Order: sequence, then structure tokens, then C-alpha cells
Amino acid sequence: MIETFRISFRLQITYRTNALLRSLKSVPGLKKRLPTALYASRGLKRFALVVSILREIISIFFGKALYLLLTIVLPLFYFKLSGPANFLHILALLTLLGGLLNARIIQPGRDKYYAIMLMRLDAKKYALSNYLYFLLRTFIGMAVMTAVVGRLYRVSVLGAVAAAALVVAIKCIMPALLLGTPLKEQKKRFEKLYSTMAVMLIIALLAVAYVLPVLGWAIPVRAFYVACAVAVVAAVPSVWALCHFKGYKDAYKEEFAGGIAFESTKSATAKVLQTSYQKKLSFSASQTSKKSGYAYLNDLFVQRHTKILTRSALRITLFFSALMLAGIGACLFYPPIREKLNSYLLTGLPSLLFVMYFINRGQTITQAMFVNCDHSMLTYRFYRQPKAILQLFAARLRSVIRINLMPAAVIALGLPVMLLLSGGTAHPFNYFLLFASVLLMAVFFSVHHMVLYYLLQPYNENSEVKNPMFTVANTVTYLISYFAVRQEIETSVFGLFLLVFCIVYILLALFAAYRLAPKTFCLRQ
Amino acid sequence: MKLYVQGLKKNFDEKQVLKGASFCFEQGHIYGLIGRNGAGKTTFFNCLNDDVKPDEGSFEVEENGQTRPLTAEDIGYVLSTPVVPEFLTAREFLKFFLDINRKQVPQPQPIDSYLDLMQIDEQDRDLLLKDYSHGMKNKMQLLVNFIANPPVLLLDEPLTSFDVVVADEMKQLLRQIKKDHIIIFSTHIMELALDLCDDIVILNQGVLQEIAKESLDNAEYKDKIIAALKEAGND
Repeated sequence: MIETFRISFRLQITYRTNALLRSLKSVPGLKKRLPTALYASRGLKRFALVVSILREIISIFFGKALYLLLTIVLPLFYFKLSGPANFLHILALLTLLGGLLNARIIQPGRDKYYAIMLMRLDAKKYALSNYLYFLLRTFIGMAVMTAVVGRLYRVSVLGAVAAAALVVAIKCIMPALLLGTPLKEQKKRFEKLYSTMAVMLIIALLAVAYVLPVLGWAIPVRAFYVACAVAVVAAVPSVWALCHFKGYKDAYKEEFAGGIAFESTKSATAKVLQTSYQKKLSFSASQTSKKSGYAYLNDLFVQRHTKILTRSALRITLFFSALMLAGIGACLFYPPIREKLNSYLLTGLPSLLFVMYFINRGQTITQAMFVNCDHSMLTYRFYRQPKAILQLFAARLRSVIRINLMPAAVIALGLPVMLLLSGGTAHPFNYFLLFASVLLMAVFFSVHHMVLYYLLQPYNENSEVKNPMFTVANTVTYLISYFAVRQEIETSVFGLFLLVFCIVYILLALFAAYRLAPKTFCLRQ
Repeated sequence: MKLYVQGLKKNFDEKQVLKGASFCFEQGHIYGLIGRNGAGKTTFFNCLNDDVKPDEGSFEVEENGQTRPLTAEDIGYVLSTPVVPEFLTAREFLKFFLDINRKQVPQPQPIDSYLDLMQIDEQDRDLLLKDYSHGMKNKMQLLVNFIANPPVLLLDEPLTSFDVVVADEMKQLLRQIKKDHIIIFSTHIMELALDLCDDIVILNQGVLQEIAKESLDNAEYKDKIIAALKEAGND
């Protein structure tokens, strides 16, 4: 068993080491400096190995420390509670809850697939030795960190060791109860956990864990020790059952039957993404189009993607219609609000930038365009011809703008009306600015996302983002919109600035797209 | 018509995949492109189809005694993993394809007659392509390339996903259209190459080389091809 564990542990470390080396390659600027025979480089490999082992050691303690701090220390600190009994009380009940929620010795994972299916390691030895290692890690991590963190609450070393023993005992008892239960049945039971009864049980446990100490009652420390001793004794037959169970191989096979573990990470991620976008397709015989060529293609695309395009925009429109009506109603029937609203409308325009950023579905739309259409069509050479790219770009842009203008129109009409009803403005130009800048922002974000997609087409054939510029550009867009929220600038100033900026940007972006997209719109290698 | 590939070079990082490959492909022939795993067959096709930019080299077409660069309209490429727009039905995909290729297909036939040709069942024609099997997607991909009728057809392992009956029909179809085309057919299946192709070209050590059949019978010819692949591999 030790030999099996040694092999599986080495395999896991190698797997992690290579993953680390691989991720180094994706750091911009580093790729060219790394040798081509990356995985054969001894120096790099040693470096990655040290990092992997360090990570393993840190993870033993760090996770436990975080767990104890967040789930026990923080609530105790918040309710100003002290004493070892409160600490151990919460710990015991959370351990019980943890055992109920996650009690599986067989866990999915690519490294397990490699070890058991490809390298034919003995499934039982593999499962048991790895679980033993896991229990050992848990025991050491828990005992040490409970002793360290528990000092704040005067938990003794014995208390820490007993707590760790309780955790390990529960982690032996619960999986033993599940042994031999088919995965489907386990999943069914897990789903049942979310039934009303189960949720109530979980809430009850949480309540006992947190509310009782607040009310001044906790399991006495001596009783805690007794509970730990009982759990350890009860774990003995469970360990026997775990060691004598014969169905590990079948259990693993069942675990791998989902299929994804059989494929490379790349194609697996692509598949997940593809399936999630294909699920967004809605298809019915009534969807037809009288258009032709690229307009026809785009028309059908829009119709088949109503879930993420029109329907979602309609929902947003309805929401904002209600909000605008509520605002107008408030102005009419609740005069005290007028002043506040008026001052917001005359200085708060920057925050609308963030709202408009959020209701614009540009990024989701372009990703759907890639996954459900361009991903395959870009392999056809006719589709990559400059004329074709620009025809489709124009058709798509028109559709996206039309969709995004729906909610924008409601806001653009609602705001000037609210401004009027909330007391008006000395500069009538402000009405126009509010109206026009909202509409222009909708057009701006539509153009922005579409042009970014066409100029930086970031995806490769596996639908992975391969162009760091794309991520940077999107983050910058988000940050600018986000920081605009807190700015208070007079609408007459900001609105005018926005108007000019949007018009210039849109013109420049379209110019750039028409000049450059035929060269940049292709599958990344 | 002739297609000249001249001095084609392509490196990936430090790995030289194509090292100045040159060849002249002629109309009326089906060329079997054979190479060992990783020899660069797909890279060669990708360069021809402009999916990958070659580091050096040129592609030219000689027609009626005049030479000109190879254009997008000259090439049809059927990938080994078929790719079709998942959100369209077979009928819609063909309508779209015919719309935008009016120049190449000035007098299109009714859409159903094309689907009949590929034996796509009536009830499958209005299904989304995402629900098609691998083989059916491959049929669609092959079909649009037949419809566009480009003079040069690149086929990357196109018959392996078909059942034996369809594969045989496709072979017949390729034989029928070859007189007006240059067909380059990449495969790992030697029997298929010997059965279908007029000439065998091997891609090894980054260069293209024709293996002449001369007066050899199939078994001897096969040995000669394998010997050539091994010999070049040992260089």
C-alpha cells in the first residue's frame, strides 16, 4: 500500500509541477524566454517541484487556519464571546455538518483517472492510502491550527488534539455509511439534502452551533471530550468497513463515467463552454428570414438567441420602465423626494455610465457569436474575406444597437421627465443632454464591445481567450465605468463631454474596424 | 491547370515543420498525401488555405499558360474534424452558402437535391446542425465544398467518419469530379490511398516527394512507400 501511495503521490506532484510550468508559459513576455523543451529543463522542474511541495505543506495549515478564523473566531469576536467551551462547541457542530454535506472517500479528478484507469494502480490501495494521507493531513493541520488559533480562547493542547480526532473520526464514519451506495443514489440523496426537511436540519444545526453560545449555553468542555471519545470508538468499525470494502474500482469507474476526465483539459473546457452556449439556443419552425446572405445568417442568429438577446433586453426594459414610473410617481405624490432627485439628475450623470455598462450585454453576445457561429465559420475561407467580414460586422452591429436601445430609450425618456417633475433646470439644454447621452452611451457600449471583438478576436479553436489585450481592454472599460459611479459632475458639463467623446470614439472605432478587422478577425493559434 | 508550391517553410518555435517543400500538382489527379504522425500534413493544408502564414514560400496557379497567385476562391478545405454553424439547420446553412457564393454557383439546384446527393434524411434536414452526428456534419462540410466547386480541393482524412456505403459513394463522387479539379487527399490509411489516388506524395522531413509507381504491383508499391517513409525518417 505504501508503494501505491508513493507512486500516486509522485504522480500528483508531477501533475501539479507540469501544470505550474504550463501556466508559466501563459505569462506574457515569459513565453519566449522559456526553453522549448520546458518540461525537460531540470532547473525549472526543480523550482516547480519545490513550489508544489511548499504549496502542499502550506495548504495543510492555511486552509484550516482560514476555516477556524472565518467560521469560529469571527462570529465569537462579533458576539464578544470567550472561553474554550464556546470555541469547541461551534467546532464540534460544524464538523458534524461537514460530515453530512461531504462524506465521500471517492472523489473525482483527472489525476485519479490517470492513476487508476491509465496506469492501472490498485483502486483499493489507491483510495485507502490517499484517504489515509488526507486524514493525516487533516489531523495534523487541525490539531496544530486549533492549538494556535484556540489559544485566543484558552483551548488546551489536549482540546486541540481531541478536536482533530473528532474531525478525523467523523470523516471515517460518514464515508463508511455511504460505502456501496451507487453514485446516482448518492447524488439523489445529496439533492434531497436541499429538500425543505434537509435545509431545516442544516439550519437547525447552524442555529445550535451559533445561537446557543450567544444565548449563553455551550457544550461543556468535559462533555466535548466524551463526545470525541465516543466518535473515535464509533470510527473503529467504520475503518474496518472502509478497509474491507471491495467495490473501489467500480466506484471510481462510475465516477469517471461522466467522460470529461477522458479528454484533455483544453477540449474539455471548450466542450463545457460550447454546451452552455448551445443551451442558450432556442429553436422553432417559425423562425425564418426573408433576407439573404450575411443578413440572413445574422437574422437567424438573433432569432435563435432571443434568450440572451431580445428577451433579456426586454426584461431589462420592463425593469427600467417600472423604475422610471416609480420615480415619476414619487415626484408627483411624494414632494420631499423632488429635491434629492433633482440634484442627482443634475450631477449624477457619471453613475449612469456604470448602469449603461451593466445593461449592455455586449460581452455575452460576442462570446455567443464566437462559440455558436464564428468558431466554426472562421475555418471557411470565404467567411474570412474582407467584404464578408465587414458585411456581417455591419449587420451584427445594427442588431446589437437595436437591442441595446430598447432599455436605453426608456431611461432616456424617463430621466428628462423626472427632471421636469422634480423641479426642472435653469438650462433647458440639460433635458436634451440627459436624453441624448443615455442613447449615445447605449450605442457607444454596443460599438465598443463589437469593435473590441472584431479587432482583438481573442479566442482560439478551443474557445480560450488567447489575447491578453482583450482581457485588459475589458477590465479597463469596467474600471472606468465603476469609478464613474462616485463622481459628481454637473450634467451640463459631463453630458456635453460624453456626447462629444461618444461621437468621436464611435467614428474612430468604426473607422478602425473597417480598416483593420479584415486582418484581425481570425482564429487565434 | 497546375498548382505550384514553391519553397514552403514553416517553423513553430524552434521546430522546423516545413523545410522548403516544393511540388507541382496537376488537374485531373487525386494526390494521396501520406506522412507519419506530426510530419506536418495539416500545417501544409493550413498554409495552403491561409489559416497559417508560412514563413517562406509561394503558391501559384498556372492556367491557360498564365501564372497567378492562389486566391481564396481556388481552395476548398474539408477538415478532419467537421465544423458547421451549430445554430443553423442543414437547409438554412445551404441557403446561406448558396446566397453568398452566387458568383461561383450562378445556377444553383434546389436545396433538397443537394441534400439528396449526400443522402441526408428528409426528417434531419430541418434539425439544427448541433444535433448532427460527426459523420453527418462531415457530409455537410464536404457538400458545401462540392457546391462551391473550387478547382483545388484539400481533404484531410475526410472518409474515416463515414459508414462503408457512404465512404464508397464519396469515392465514386471524387473520381467523377477529379477531371476538373486538383484533389489533395491526406490519409493514414494506405489501402484507401492506393485505391483512390492516382499519385502518392509523401511529406517527410519537411519536404514533399512523389513516389513513382512505375510498373510495381500494389504490394510492392506499398513496400516502396513505407521504405521511403522509414528511410527519410532515419536521416
